Amino acid sequence: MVSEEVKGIVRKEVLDKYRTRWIQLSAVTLLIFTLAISYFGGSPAGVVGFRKFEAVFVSLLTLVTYLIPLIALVLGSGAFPEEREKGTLPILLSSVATPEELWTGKVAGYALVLAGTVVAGYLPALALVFIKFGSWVLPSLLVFLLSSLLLGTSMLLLSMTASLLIRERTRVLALSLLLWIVIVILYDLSLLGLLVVTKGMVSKALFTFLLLLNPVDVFRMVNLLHVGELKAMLGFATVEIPPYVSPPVLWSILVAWIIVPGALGRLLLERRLAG
Amino acid sequence: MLELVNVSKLYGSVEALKGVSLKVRRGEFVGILGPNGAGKSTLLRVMVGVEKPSSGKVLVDSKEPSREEWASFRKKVGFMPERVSFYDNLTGLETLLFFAKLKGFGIKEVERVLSFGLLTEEDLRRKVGEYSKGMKQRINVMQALLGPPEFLVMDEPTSGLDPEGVVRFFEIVEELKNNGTTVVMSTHVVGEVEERADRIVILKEGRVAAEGSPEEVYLSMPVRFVVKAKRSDLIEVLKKNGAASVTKKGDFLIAEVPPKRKMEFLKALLEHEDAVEDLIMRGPSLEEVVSDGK
Ligand SMILES: Nc1ncnc2c1ncn2[C@@H]1O[C@H](COP(=O)(O)OP(=O)(O)OP(=O)(O)O)[C@@H](O)[C@H]1O
Ligand SMILES: [Mg+2]
Repeated sequence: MVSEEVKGIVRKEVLDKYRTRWIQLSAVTLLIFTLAISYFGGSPAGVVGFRKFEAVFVSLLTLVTYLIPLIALVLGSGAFPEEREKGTLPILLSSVATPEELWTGKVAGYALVLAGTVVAGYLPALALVFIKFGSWVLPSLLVFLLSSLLLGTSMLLLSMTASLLIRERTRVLALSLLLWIVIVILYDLSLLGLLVVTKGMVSKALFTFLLLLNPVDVFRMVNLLHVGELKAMLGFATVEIPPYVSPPVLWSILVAWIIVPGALGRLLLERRLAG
Repeated sequence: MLELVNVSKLYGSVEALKGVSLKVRRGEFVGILGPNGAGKSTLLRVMVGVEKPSSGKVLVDSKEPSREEWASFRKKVGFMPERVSFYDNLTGLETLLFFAKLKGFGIKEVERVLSFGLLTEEDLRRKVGEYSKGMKQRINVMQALLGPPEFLVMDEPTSGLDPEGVVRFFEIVEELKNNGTTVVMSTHVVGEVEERADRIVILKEGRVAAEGSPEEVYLSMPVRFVVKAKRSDLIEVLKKNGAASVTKKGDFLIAEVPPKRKMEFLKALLEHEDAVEDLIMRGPSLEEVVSDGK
């Protein structure tokens, strides 16, 4: 089913990227921060140890909401400019691999690299949380891991697609960082700003709808919804979550944020690469 | 097997190729020469279908290939682009295995290419990021030889190779050629293709300035006659009989004679034998042809 060419590209990306220093550094950074939060997170000043699971969970969530998109966006931005700069692109294009295979191989390879980084960065912390709080937290942890992977993959595809539009790696990187600032920080800030400026005139329905457009907000919601008691702790507590915002809807949105840039990138690849 | 018909290639406002027409026949060795920026690399990329021409056609076996036909043509192509630095974190061996897979070959084919001895086993286990320029160039040569290709297209393959590497490289190419491989390569070292190539193409500013066997290229170029004159009126005679220009340098007259008027010029010299003390005839070297001019 999967062609040898695709397997070859996946294998190459995995071999190459896992030996890349900044990828290793990303995993270590994730690991240190998640572990620190799992250990100290939510504890009142001076008291080391665990408090409520919910407090730890929210801290973890806040952390990875920043880190995962950042790592993924930076990782993906090099995907095609790298081949261009190294001069290997003409060899790839003169090979037997079709543009579809090239795209599939690249996406699968990069997604695997990201998944490996995330899993390696999460595992010790999640294990620690599991041991401390018991097996009842397992579903929440699984949701956390899976949704992180989906969010990461969608951000990855976003910057991989951007890397097809722009030739220079530094410019793709700049665009990726801009995307990160917009998606992770500015979007929510402006929504809050909108609420304040309009003194709550923006209907709650509209506000929720706007939140649903942003994959990072969806990621946050899906996690908070799965951890029942947490709804009360929502940063956007003013928002009433309407019944249509159910976990299946949220998961579907996350998946859509993978499928749409993925399909777009595939289309672009054929047009752009040979041009 | 391959033909370019009036191919132009634009990069923004830069016209890298301006209406290039060219045929590459099966089993031929074609050398591409030309100054920096002449369009050699662009030409080679268009030939293997890595870049589409802005206008004009690329014909494979006399017809424009469909997508599928390009794909099956590529199976037979070994392409060596210029200045490839490869993936820093892969070893030489992993790199070759990757390109083999991408071209649909297995470990057997990699082993065959390794047997050419372009890199030692020890080097092949090192990461390419640690390689010297010449070692990277050797990996580049090796990946193009996977197949072995029926159509081998190489962009300055010898640049960065040490003398021994150059010798080994041409031994390998010679062997491939004897087995029927069509070879197209660009180079700045005229001597590399002067004796070996069946045909030479000289590109200048995106146009074919000269084309043919090395002998044909020489024949198509103006010849310079240096004549030691006994009489001062000889200069007028030469100007009237074939010389495009005549300049005086001491006792010597230097005449540039266009290719089609060589005989006419010689005849005039014979008729005025009494005015000629001695004579030097100098064809341009290929280097001169490549570097200066018409
Ligand atoms: N990708 C590109 N984008 C923009 N301009 C390009 C590109 N590739 C080539 N050119 C331009 O096309 C012209 C021909 O370049 P090309 O690389 O084909 O020359 P060349 O004969 O291979 O030169 P050299 O001997 O230096 O390798 C140059 O003016 C170059 O700047
Ligand atoms: Mg070149």
